[in-house]
Amino acid sequence: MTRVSCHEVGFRYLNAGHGIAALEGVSFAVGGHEIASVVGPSGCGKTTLLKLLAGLLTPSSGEIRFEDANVRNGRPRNALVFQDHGVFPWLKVVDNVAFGLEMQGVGTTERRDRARSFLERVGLLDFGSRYPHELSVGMRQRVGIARAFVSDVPVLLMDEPFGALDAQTRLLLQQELLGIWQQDRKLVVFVTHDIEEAILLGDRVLVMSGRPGRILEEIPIPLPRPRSLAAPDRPDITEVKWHIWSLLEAEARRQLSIHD
Amino acid sequence: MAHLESAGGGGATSAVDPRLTRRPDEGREGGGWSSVLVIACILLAWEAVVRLDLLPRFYFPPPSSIARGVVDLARSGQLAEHGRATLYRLTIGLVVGGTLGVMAGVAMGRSRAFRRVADPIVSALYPIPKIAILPLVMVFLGIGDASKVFVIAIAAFFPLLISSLAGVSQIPDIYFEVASNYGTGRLGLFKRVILPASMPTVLAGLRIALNSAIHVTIAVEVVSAVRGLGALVWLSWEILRIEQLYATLTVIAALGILSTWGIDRLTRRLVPWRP
Repeated sequence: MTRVSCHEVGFRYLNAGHGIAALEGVSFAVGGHEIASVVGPSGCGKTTLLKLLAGLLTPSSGEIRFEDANVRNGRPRNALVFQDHGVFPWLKVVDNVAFGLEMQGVGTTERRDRARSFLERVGLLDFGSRYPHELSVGMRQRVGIARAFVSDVPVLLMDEPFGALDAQTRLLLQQELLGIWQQDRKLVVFVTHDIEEAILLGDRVLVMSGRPGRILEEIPIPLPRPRSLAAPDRPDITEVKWHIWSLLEAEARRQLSIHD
Repeated sequence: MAHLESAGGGGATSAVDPRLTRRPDEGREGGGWSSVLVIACILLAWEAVVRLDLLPRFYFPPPSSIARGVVDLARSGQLAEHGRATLYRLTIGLVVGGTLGVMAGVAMGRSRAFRRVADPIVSALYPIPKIAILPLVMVFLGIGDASKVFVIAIAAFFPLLISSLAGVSQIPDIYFEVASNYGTGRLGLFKRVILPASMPTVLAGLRIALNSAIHVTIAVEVVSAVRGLGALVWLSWEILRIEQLYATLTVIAALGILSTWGIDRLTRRLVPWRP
Protein backbone atom coordinates (compact mmCIF):
# COMPACT_ATOMS: atom_id res chain seq x y z
CA MET A 1 0.00 0.00 0.00
CA THR A 2 1.36 3.35 -1.08
CA ARG A 3 0.86 6.51 0.90
CA VAL A 4 2.00 9.98 0.04
CA SER A 5 1.72 12.73 2.61
CA CYS A 6 2.65 16.41 2.53
CA HIS A 7 3.44 18.21 5.77
CA GLU A 8 3.35 22.00 5.65
CA VAL A 9 4.99 21.94 2.22
CA GLY A 10 6.01 25.30 0.79
CA PHE A 11 7.79 26.20 -2.41
CA ARG A 12 9.29 29.44 -3.66
CA TYR A 13 10.39 30.05 -7.22
CA LEU A 14 13.48 32.18 -7.64
CA ASN A 15 12.77 34.87 -10.16
CA ALA A 16 15.43 37.51 -10.82
CA GLY A 17 16.60 37.32 -7.21
CA HIS A 18 13.09 37.55 -5.78
CA GLY A 19 11.42 34.52 -4.36
CA ILE A 20 7.85 34.04 -5.49
CA ALA A 21 5.81 31.84 -3.18
CA ALA A 22 4.01 29.23 -5.26
CA LEU A 23 2.87 27.01 -2.40
CA GLU A 24 2.52 27.63 1.32
CA GLY A 25 1.70 25.25 4.14
CA VAL A 26 0.26 22.50 1.98
CA SER A 27 -0.70 19.44 4.01
CA PHE A 28 -2.65 16.41 2.89
CA ALA A 29 -2.31 12.68 2.55
CA VAL A 30 -3.38 10.33 -0.19
CA GLY A 31 -3.00 6.60 -0.26
CA GLY A 32 -4.10 3.24 -1.48
CA HIS A 33 -5.72 2.97 -4.90
CA GLU A 34 -7.64 6.18 -4.81
CA ILE A 35 -7.90 9.03 -7.26
CA ALA A 36 -7.34 12.34 -5.54
CA SER A 37 -8.37 15.32 -7.63
CA VAL A 38 -6.70 18.64 -7.03
CA VAL A 39 -8.69 21.60 -8.25
CA GLY A 40 -7.77 25.25 -8.06
CA PRO A 41 -7.62 28.51 -9.99
CA SER A 42 -4.98 28.80 -12.69
CA GLY A 43 -1.55 29.75 -11.39
CA CYS A 44 -2.25 28.39 -7.92
CA GLY A 45 0.73 26.05 -7.96
CA LYS A 46 -1.03 22.83 -8.93
CA THR A 47 1.71 21.92 -11.41
CA THR A 48 4.36 22.86 -8.84
CA LEU A 49 2.71 20.51 -6.37
CA LEU A 50 2.85 17.63 -8.86
CA LYS A 51 6.48 18.33 -9.69
CA LEU A 52 7.26 18.26 -5.98
CA LEU A 53 5.48 14.91 -5.63
CA ALA A 54 7.33 13.62 -8.70
CA GLY A 55 10.66 14.69 -7.25
CA LEU A 56 11.40 17.09 -10.10
CA LEU A 57 11.44 19.92 -7.54
CA THR A 58 12.43 19.96 -3.87
CA PRO A 59 10.22 21.70 -1.29
CA SER A 60 11.54 24.98 0.12
CA SER A 61 9.93 24.11 3.44
CA GLY A 62 8.04 21.23 4.99
CA GLU A 63 8.39 17.67 3.81
CA ILE A 64 6.82 15.06 1.60
CA ARG A 65 6.73 11.53 2.97
CA PHE A 66 6.25 8.34 1.04
CA GLU A 67 5.29 5.00 2.46
CA ASP A 68 5.37 2.05 0.19
CA ALA A 69 5.35 -1.62 0.86
CA ASN A 70 8.08 -2.13 -1.75
CA VAL A 71 10.19 0.94 -1.27
CA ARG A 72 11.91 1.81 1.97
CA ASN A 73 13.24 5.29 2.61
CA GLY A 74 12.73 6.43 -0.92
CA ARG A 75 10.34 7.72 -3.47
CA PRO A 76 8.16 5.04 -5.02
CA ARG A 77 8.30 5.04 -8.78
CA ASN A 78 5.84 7.47 -10.23
CA ALA A 79 4.85 8.62 -13.67
CA LEU A 80 3.88 12.16 -14.50
CA VAL A 81 1.41 12.76 -17.34
CA PHE A 82 1.93 16.25 -18.69
CA GLN A 83 -0.59 18.74 -19.94
CA ASP A 84 0.74 18.48 -23.48
CA HIS A 85 4.00 18.02 -25.38
CA GLY A 86 4.96 15.25 -23.00
CA VAL A 87 5.58 12.66 -25.72
CA PHE A 88 8.90 12.66 -27.56
CA PRO A 89 8.37 13.73 -31.19
CA TRP A 90 11.39 11.66 -32.30
CA LEU A 91 10.13 8.34 -30.96
CA LYS A 92 7.49 6.26 -32.67
CA VAL A 93 4.26 5.92 -30.73
CA VAL A 94 5.11 2.40 -29.57
CA ASP A 95 8.55 3.48 -28.34
CA ASN A 96 7.08 6.49 -26.59
CA VAL A 97 4.72 4.20 -24.71
CA ALA A 98 7.59 1.79 -23.99
CA PHE A 99 9.92 4.58 -22.80
CA GLY A 100 9.30 4.03 -19.10
CA LEU A 101 9.89 0.30 -19.49
CA GLU A 102 13.07 0.95 -21.47
CA MET A 103 14.39 3.11 -18.64
CA GLN A 104 13.55 0.27 -16.24
CA GLY A 105 15.77 -1.98 -18.33
CA VAL A 106 13.05 -4.10 -19.95
CA GLY A 107 14.25 -5.70 -23.23
CA THR A 108 13.15 -4.41 -26.62
CA THR A 109 10.78 -7.22 -27.59
CA GLU A 110 9.07 -7.44 -24.24
CA ARG A 111 8.60 -3.71 -23.79
CA ARG A 112 7.21 -3.28 -27.31
CA ASP A 113 4.79 -6.15 -26.74
CA ARG A 114 3.61 -4.61 -23.50
CA ALA A 115 3.36 -1.19 -25.12
CA ARG A 116 1.31 -2.62 -28.00
CA SER A 117 -1.11 -4.38 -25.69
CA PHE A 118 -1.68 -1.07 -23.95
CA LEU A 119 -2.02 0.79 -27.24
CA GLU A 120 -4.79 -1.63 -28.04
CA ARG A 121 -6.55 -0.65 -24.83
CA VAL A 122 -6.48 3.04 -25.75
CA GLY A 123 -7.47 2.31 -29.37
CA LEU A 124 -4.15 3.26 -30.92
CA LEU A 125 -2.81 -0.14 -31.93
CA ASP A 126 -2.71 0.81 -35.62
CA PHE A 127 -0.69 3.90 -34.86
CA GLY A 128 2.22 2.21 -33.10
CA SER A 129 4.73 2.84 -35.86
CA ARG A 130 3.63 6.42 -36.48
CA TYR A 131 5.38 9.48 -35.18
CA PRO A 132 3.52 11.78 -32.77
CA HIS A 133 3.17 14.62 -35.31
CA GLU A 134 0.94 12.32 -37.34
CA LEU A 135 -1.52 12.08 -34.43
CA SER A 136 -4.16 14.48 -33.19
CA VAL A 137 -3.72 16.20 -29.83
CA GLY A 138 -6.19 13.80 -28.20
CA MET A 139 -4.33 10.77 -29.57
CA ARG A 140 -1.02 12.13 -28.31
CA GLN A 141 -2.53 12.57 -24.87
CA ARG A 142 -3.61 8.93 -24.93
CA VAL A 143 -0.02 8.01 -25.77
CA GLY A 144 1.13 9.92 -22.68
CA ILE A 145 -1.45 8.15 -20.51
CA ALA A 146 -0.58 4.75 -21.97
CA ARG A 147 3.10 5.39 -21.25
CA ALA A 148 2.33 6.17 -17.63
CA PHE A 149 0.11 3.12 -17.10
CA VAL A 150 2.30 0.62 -18.94
CA SER A 151 5.32 1.66 -16.87
CA ASP A 152 3.60 -0.13 -14.02
CA VAL A 153 4.38 2.42 -11.34
CA PRO A 154 2.33 2.63 -8.14
CA VAL A 155 1.77 6.39 -8.33
CA LEU A 156 0.39 8.32 -11.30
CA LEU A 157 0.56 12.09 -11.29
CA MET A 158 -1.59 13.76 -13.94
CA ASP A 159 -1.25 17.43 -14.73
CA GLU A 160 -4.41 18.59 -16.52
CA PRO A 161 -3.93 15.88 -19.12
CA PHE A 162 -7.18 16.80 -20.87
CA GLY A 163 -6.77 20.56 -20.54
CA ALA A 164 -5.86 21.13 -24.18
CA LEU A 165 -8.64 19.01 -25.65
CA ASP A 166 -12.01 19.93 -27.08
CA ALA A 167 -15.05 19.13 -24.95
CA GLN A 168 -16.09 15.92 -26.74
CA THR A 169 -12.61 14.39 -26.86
CA ARG A 170 -12.27 15.31 -23.24
CA LEU A 171 -15.41 13.39 -22.27
CA LEU A 172 -14.18 10.37 -24.24
CA LEU A 173 -10.79 10.37 -22.58
CA GLN A 174 -12.26 10.86 -19.11
CA GLN A 175 -14.35 7.78 -19.73
CA GLU A 176 -11.33 5.93 -21.08
CA LEU A 177 -9.22 6.90 -18.08
CA LEU A 178 -11.91 5.66 -15.69
CA GLY A 179 -12.04 2.38 -17.61
CA ILE A 180 -8.28 1.85 -17.56
CA TRP A 181 -8.00 2.77 -13.90
CA GLN A 182 -10.84 0.40 -13.05
CA GLN A 183 -8.78 -2.48 -14.50
CA ASP A 184 -5.41 -1.30 -13.29
CA ARG A 185 -5.84 0.49 -10.00
CA LYS A 186 -3.15 2.85 -8.87
CA LEU A 187 -2.80 5.85 -6.65
CA VAL A 188 -3.62 8.79 -8.91
CA VAL A 189 -3.21 12.47 -8.15
CA PHE A 190 -5.19 14.27 -10.83
CA VAL A 191 -4.73 18.02 -11.18
CA THR A 192 -7.36 20.01 -13.04
CA HIS A 193 -9.02 23.40 -13.10
CA ASP A 194 -12.34 21.80 -14.08
CA ILE A 195 -14.63 21.20 -11.09
CA GLU A 196 -16.81 18.63 -12.87
CA GLU A 197 -13.78 16.66 -13.99
CA ALA A 198 -12.41 16.71 -10.44
CA ILE A 199 -15.69 15.32 -9.10
CA LEU A 200 -16.19 12.76 -11.86
CA LEU A 201 -12.75 11.21 -11.39
CA GLY A 202 -11.87 11.75 -7.76
CA ASP A 203 -12.59 9.83 -4.60
CA ARG A 204 -11.67 13.08 -2.94
CA VAL A 205 -11.31 16.61 -4.20
CA LEU A 206 -8.61 18.81 -2.73
CA VAL A 207 -9.54 22.43 -3.32
CA MET A 208 -6.61 24.83 -3.58
CA SER A 209 -6.50 28.57 -3.07
CA GLY A 210 -4.92 31.07 -5.42
CA ARG A 211 -1.21 31.84 -5.20
CA PRO A 212 0.41 31.02 -2.91
CA GLY A 213 -1.48 27.76 -3.08
CA ARG A 214 -2.87 26.22 0.09
CA ILE A 215 -5.39 23.42 0.54
CA LEU A 216 -8.68 25.13 1.33
CA GLU A 217 -10.74 22.03 1.87
CA GLU A 218 -10.74 18.30 1.33
CA ILE A 219 -14.07 17.02 0.04
CA PRO A 220 -14.96 13.33 -0.20
CA ILE A 221 -16.97 12.32 -3.27
CA PRO A 222 -19.34 9.54 -2.24
CA LEU A 223 -19.97 8.18 -5.74
CA PRO A 224 -19.77 4.40 -6.24
CA ARG A 225 -17.28 2.84 -8.64
CA PRO A 226 -17.19 2.03 -11.50
CA ARG A 227 -18.31 5.48 -12.45
CA SER A 228 -19.90 6.69 -15.65
CA LEU A 229 -20.05 10.18 -17.06
CA ALA A 230 -23.62 10.46 -15.75
CA ALA A 231 -22.62 9.61 -12.17
CA PRO A 232 -22.19 13.19 -10.93
CA ASP A 233 -25.76 14.11 -11.90
CA ARG A 234 -27.08 13.23 -8.41
CA PRO A 235 -28.53 16.15 -6.45
CA ASP A 236 -26.12 15.72 -3.52
CA ILE A 237 -23.18 15.84 -5.94
CA THR A 238 -24.53 18.95 -7.59
CA GLU A 239 -24.49 20.48 -4.13
CA VAL A 240 -20.84 19.48 -3.73
CA LYS A 241 -20.12 21.11 -7.08
CA TRP A 242 -21.65 24.41 -5.95
CA HIS A 243 -19.81 24.20 -2.69
CA ILE A 244 -16.46 23.85 -4.51
CA TRP A 245 -17.40 26.70 -6.78
CA SER A 246 -18.20 28.91 -3.79
CA LEU A 247 -14.70 28.16 -2.49
CA LEU A 248 -13.08 28.98 -5.81
CA GLU A 249 -15.25 31.91 -6.83
CA ALA A 250 -13.65 34.40 -4.48
CA GLU A 251 -10.19 33.36 -5.68
CA ALA A 252 -11.21 33.59 -9.31
CA ARG A 253 -12.70 37.06 -8.78
CA ARG A 254 -9.60 38.20 -6.97
CA GLN A 255 -7.48 37.13 -9.95
CA LEU A 256 -9.79 38.86 -12.40
CA SER A 257 -9.58 42.12 -10.51
CA ILE A 258 -5.79 41.91 -10.47
CA HIS A 259 -5.77 41.62 -14.23
CA ASP A 260 -8.32 44.39 -14.80
CA MET B 1 -3.50 2.05 -40.74
CA ALA B 2 -6.11 2.12 -43.45
CA HIS B 3 -7.52 5.07 -41.62
CA LEU B 4 -4.35 7.05 -42.11
CA GLU B 5 -3.70 5.98 -45.65
CA SER B 6 -7.10 7.13 -46.74
CA ALA B 7 -6.32 10.49 -45.18
CA GLY B 8 -3.04 10.55 -47.11
CA GLY B 9 -5.02 9.96 -50.27
CA GLY B 10 -6.78 13.26 -49.83
CA GLY B 11 -9.82 12.61 -47.64
CA ALA B 12 -9.26 14.44 -44.36
CA THR B 13 -10.34 12.59 -41.23
CA SER B 14 -11.13 14.39 -38.03
CA ALA B 15 -8.81 12.25 -35.92
CA VAL B 16 -5.84 12.83 -38.19
CA ASP B 17 -3.68 15.88 -38.35
CA PRO B 18 -4.60 17.90 -41.47
CA ARG B 19 -0.90 18.19 -42.35
CA LEU B 20 -1.07 14.52 -43.24
CA THR B 21 -3.34 15.13 -46.18
CA ARG B 22 -0.50 16.79 -48.07
CA ARG B 23 2.74 14.89 -48.23
CA PRO B 24 5.70 17.15 -47.48
CA ASP B 25 7.65 16.18 -50.62
CA GLU B 26 4.74 16.94 -52.94
CA GLY B 27 5.59 20.61 -53.27
CA ARG B 28 9.32 19.93 -53.33
CA GLU B 29 9.04 17.59 -56.30
CA GLY B 30 7.09 20.13 -58.31
CA GLY B 31 9.60 22.83 -57.39
CA GLY B 32 12.45 20.54 -58.48
CA TRP B 33 11.04 20.06 -61.97
CA SER B 34 10.26 23.71 -62.56
CA SER B 35 13.76 24.73 -61.47
CA VAL B 36 15.28 22.18 -63.89
CA LEU B 37 13.13 23.74 -66.60
CA VAL B 38 14.28 27.26 -65.75
CA ILE B 39 17.94 26.21 -65.77
CA ALA B 40 17.48 24.44 -69.12
CA CYS B 41 15.96 27.61 -70.58
CA ILE B 42 18.83 29.76 -69.33
CA LEU B 43 21.42 27.34 -70.79
CA LEU B 44 19.59 27.24 -74.14
CA ALA B 45 19.40 31.04 -74.27
CA TRP B 46 23.11 31.29 -73.44
CA GLU B 47 23.98 28.78 -76.16
CA ALA B 48 21.87 30.69 -78.69
CA VAL B 49 23.24 34.12 -77.78
CA VAL B 50 26.84 32.94 -78.15
CA ARG B 51 26.18 31.08 -81.40
CA LEU B 52 24.56 34.19 -82.83
CA ASP B 53 27.77 36.06 -81.91
CA LEU B 54 25.92 38.41 -79.60
CA LEU B 55 28.46 37.56 -76.87
CA PRO B 56 32.18 36.96 -77.44
CA ARG B 57 32.81 33.21 -77.44
CA PHE B 58 36.23 33.61 -75.83
CA TYR B 59 34.86 35.07 -72.61
CA PHE B 60 31.56 33.26 -72.63
CA PRO B 61 32.04 29.79 -74.09
CA PRO B 62 28.64 28.20 -74.81
CA PRO B 63 27.34 25.50 -72.42
CA SER B 64 28.01 22.83 -75.03
CA SER B 65 31.73 23.55 -75.10
CA ILE B 66 31.85 23.88 -71.30
CA ALA B 67 30.31 20.41 -71.17
CA ARG B 68 32.96 19.23 -73.61
CA GLY B 69 35.54 20.84 -71.35
CA VAL B 70 34.26 18.80 -68.41
CA VAL B 71 34.47 15.62 -70.50
CA ASP B 72 38.02 16.53 -71.56
CA LEU B 73 38.99 17.07 -67.92
CA ALA B 74 37.61 13.65 -67.09
CA ARG B 75 39.31 11.94 -70.06
CA SER B 76 42.73 13.47 -69.45
CA GLY B 77 42.67 12.26 -65.84
CA GLN B 78 42.93 15.82 -64.55
CA LEU B 79 39.48 15.64 -63.01
CA ALA B 80 40.39 12.53 -61.02
CA GLU B 81 43.75 13.93 -59.95
CA HIS B 82 42.52 17.36 -58.83
CA GLY B 83 39.13 16.17 -57.66
CA ARG B 84 40.74 13.56 -55.43
CA ALA B 85 43.02 16.15 -53.82
CA THR B 86 40.05 18.43 -53.13
CA LEU B 87 37.82 15.66 -51.76
CA TYR B 88 40.63 14.39 -49.57
CA ARG B 89 41.21 17.78 -47.90
CA LEU B 90 37.50 18.51 -47.71
CA THR B 91 36.62 15.17 -46.12
CA ILE B 92 39.36 15.17 -43.49
CA GLY B 93 38.77 18.84 -42.66
CA LEU B 94 35.02 18.36 -42.39
CA VAL B 95 35.20 15.19 -40.29
CA VAL B 96 37.85 16.48 -37.88
CA GLY B 97 36.59 20.06 -37.62
CA GLY B 98 32.95 19.04 -37.61
CA THR B 99 33.35 16.41 -34.89
CA LEU B 100 35.25 18.82 -32.67
CA GLY B 101 32.67 21.51 -33.41
CA VAL B 102 29.77 19.29 -32.34
CA MET B 103 31.65 18.24 -29.20
CA ALA B 104 32.44 21.83 -28.27
CA GLY B 105 28.87 22.95 -29.01
CA VAL B 106 27.33 20.19 -26.89
CA ALA B 107 29.77 20.93 -24.06
CA MET B 108 28.92 24.63 -24.21
CA GLY B 109 25.21 23.86 -24.33
CA ARG B 110 25.34 21.54 -21.33
CA SER B 111 27.79 23.41 -19.10
CA ARG B 112 27.09 27.00 -18.18
CA ALA B 113 30.61 27.52 -16.84
CA PHE B 114 32.27 26.27 -20.03
CA ARG B 115 29.94 28.41 -22.08
CA ARG B 116 30.83 31.56 -20.12
CA VAL B 117 34.51 30.95 -20.81
CA ALA B 118 34.16 29.92 -24.44
CA ASP B 119 31.52 32.36 -25.66
CA PRO B 120 33.77 35.43 -26.05
CA ILE B 121 36.49 33.34 -27.68
CA VAL B 122 34.01 32.00 -30.21
CA SER B 123 32.57 35.44 -30.96
CA ALA B 124 36.08 36.78 -31.52
CA LEU B 125 37.30 33.98 -33.77
CA TYR B 126 34.20 33.12 -35.78
CA PRO B 127 34.07 36.27 -37.97
CA ILE B 128 37.72 36.06 -39.07
CA PRO B 129 37.78 34.93 -42.72
CA LYS B 130 39.37 31.50 -42.54
CA ILE B 131 41.47 32.04 -45.64
CA ALA B 132 43.14 34.98 -43.86
CA ILE B 133 44.64 32.74 -41.19
CA LEU B 134 46.23 30.37 -43.73
CA PRO B 135 49.56 32.24 -43.75
CA LEU B 136 49.77 32.08 -39.97
CA VAL B 137 48.90 28.37 -39.97
CA MET B 138 51.55 27.76 -42.63
CA VAL B 139 54.14 29.31 -40.31
CA PHE B 140 53.43 26.48 -37.87
CA LEU B 141 52.39 23.57 -40.06
CA GLY B 142 54.37 24.25 -43.23
CA ILE B 143 53.13 24.61 -46.77
CA GLY B 144 51.86 21.03 -47.16
CA ASP B 145 48.39 19.58 -46.80
CA ALA B 146 48.38 19.84 -43.00
CA SER B 147 47.99 23.60 -42.96
CA LYS B 148 45.24 23.48 -45.62
CA VAL B 149 43.28 20.77 -43.83
CA PHE B 150 43.65 22.70 -40.58
CA VAL B 151 42.07 25.81 -42.07
CA ILE B 152 39.27 23.77 -43.68
CA ALA B 153 38.63 22.08 -40.33
CA ILE B 154 38.28 25.49 -38.70
CA ALA B 155 35.79 26.49 -41.38
CA ALA B 156 33.68 23.41 -40.58
CA PHE B 157 34.20 23.75 -36.83
CA PHE B 158 32.35 27.01 -36.17
CA PRO B 159 29.03 26.42 -37.95
CA LEU B 160 28.70 23.04 -36.24
CA LEU B 161 29.70 24.46 -32.88
CA ILE B 162 27.08 27.17 -33.12
CA SER B 163 24.31 24.92 -34.43
CA SER B 164 24.98 22.19 -31.84
CA LEU B 165 25.04 24.80 -29.10
CA ALA B 166 21.70 26.15 -30.31
CA GLY B 167 20.28 22.65 -30.78
CA VAL B 168 21.25 21.50 -27.31
CA SER B 169 20.30 24.64 -25.41
CA GLN B 170 16.90 25.00 -27.08
CA ILE B 171 15.57 21.62 -25.99
CA PRO B 172 12.33 22.27 -24.09
CA ASP B 173 12.58 21.53 -20.35
CA ILE B 174 9.62 19.21 -20.52
CA TYR B 175 11.65 16.50 -22.29
CA PHE B 176 14.25 16.57 -19.53
CA GLU B 177 11.45 16.39 -16.98
CA VAL B 178 9.85 13.39 -18.69
CA ALA B 179 13.23 11.67 -18.89
CA SER B 180 14.05 12.45 -15.27
CA ASN B 181 10.59 11.34 -14.16
CA TYR B 182 11.20 7.91 -15.68
CA GLY B 183 14.60 7.66 -14.05
CA THR B 184 16.71 8.19 -17.17
CA GLY B 185 20.46 8.08 -16.57
CA ARG B 186 23.11 10.24 -18.24
CA LEU B 187 23.66 7.93 -21.18
CA GLY B 188 19.94 7.44 -21.76
CA LEU B 189 19.40 11.19 -21.56
CA PHE B 190 22.00 11.74 -24.26
CA LYS B 191 20.78 8.91 -26.48
CA ARG B 192 17.05 9.46 -26.10
CA VAL B 193 16.72 13.21 -25.58
CA ILE B 194 19.74 15.40 -26.30
CA LEU B 195 20.89 13.66 -29.47
CA PRO B 196 17.53 13.33 -31.26
CA ALA B 197 16.20 16.69 -30.07
CA SER B 198 19.23 18.60 -31.35
CA MET B 199 19.63 16.55 -34.55
CA PRO B 200 17.60 18.83 -36.88
CA THR B 201 19.56 21.91 -35.83
CA VAL B 202 22.88 20.08 -36.00
CA LEU B 203 22.09 18.90 -39.54
CA ALA B 204 21.17 22.45 -40.56
CA GLY B 205 24.58 23.43 -39.19
CA LEU B 206 26.22 20.58 -41.11
CA ARG B 207 24.85 22.02 -44.33
CA ILE B 208 26.40 25.40 -43.57
CA ALA B 209 29.63 23.75 -42.39
CA LEU B 210 29.92 21.74 -45.60
CA ASN B 211 29.35 24.79 -47.80
CA SER B 212 31.79 26.81 -45.75
CA ALA B 213 34.35 23.98 -45.95
CA ILE B 214 33.96 23.79 -49.74
CA HIS B 215 34.50 27.56 -50.04
CA VAL B 216 37.64 27.44 -47.93
CA THR B 217 38.96 24.30 -49.63
CA ILE B 218 38.74 25.90 -53.06
CA ALA B 219 40.13 29.17 -51.69
CA VAL B 220 43.21 27.62 -50.08
CA GLU B 221 43.81 25.65 -53.26
CA VAL B 222 43.62 28.78 -55.38
CA VAL B 223 46.08 30.50 -53.07
CA SER B 224 48.57 27.74 -52.45
CA ALA B 225 48.20 24.35 -54.03
CA VAL B 226 49.54 22.43 -56.97
CA ARG B 227 46.66 19.96 -57.00
CA GLY B 228 42.98 20.41 -56.31
CA LEU B 229 40.05 21.96 -58.15
CA GLY B 230 40.98 25.39 -56.79
CA ALA B 231 44.51 24.95 -58.14
CA LEU B 232 43.04 23.92 -61.48
CA VAL B 233 40.97 27.13 -61.53
CA TRP B 234 44.10 29.17 -61.01
CA LEU B 235 46.12 27.13 -63.54
CA SER B 236 43.41 27.60 -66.18
CA TRP B 237 43.52 31.34 -65.62
CA GLU B 238 47.31 31.43 -65.86
CA ILE B 239 47.34 29.69 -69.22
CA LEU B 240 44.15 31.56 -70.19
CA ARG B 241 42.08 28.47 -70.92
CA ILE B 242 38.75 30.10 -70.23
CA GLU B 243 36.79 27.05 -71.29
CA GLN B 244 38.63 24.87 -68.80
CA LEU B 245 38.08 27.56 -66.16
CA TYR B 246 34.33 27.35 -66.72
CA ALA B 247 34.47 23.56 -66.78
CA THR B 248 36.26 23.49 -63.41
CA LEU B 249 33.78 25.92 -61.90
CA THR B 250 31.00 23.66 -63.18
CA VAL B 251 32.57 20.69 -61.42
CA ILE B 252 32.79 22.73 -58.19
CA ALA B 253 29.13 23.70 -58.53
CA ALA B 254 28.25 20.03 -59.06
CA LEU B 255 30.14 19.20 -55.88
CA GLY B 256 27.98 21.75 -54.05
CA ILE B 257 24.74 20.37 -55.47
CA LEU B 258 25.77 16.81 -54.68
CA SER B 259 26.64 17.66 -51.09
CA THR B 260 23.35 19.49 -50.53
CA TRP B 261 21.48 16.51 -51.95
CA GLY B 262 23.45 14.18 -49.68
CA ILE B 263 22.60 16.21 -46.59
CA ASP B 264 18.93 16.27 -47.59
CA ARG B 265 18.98 12.48 -47.80
CA LEU B 266 20.80 12.23 -44.48
CA THR B 267 18.30 14.58 -42.85
CA ARG B 268 15.35 12.55 -44.04
CA ARG B 269 17.02 9.43 -42.70
CA LEU B 270 18.05 10.79 -39.33
CA VAL B 271 15.02 13.00 -38.70
CA PRO B 272 12.08 10.95 -39.98
CA TRP B 273 9.90 12.38 -37.24
CA ARG B 274 9.75 15.91 -38.60
CA PRO B 275 6.50 16.89 -40.32
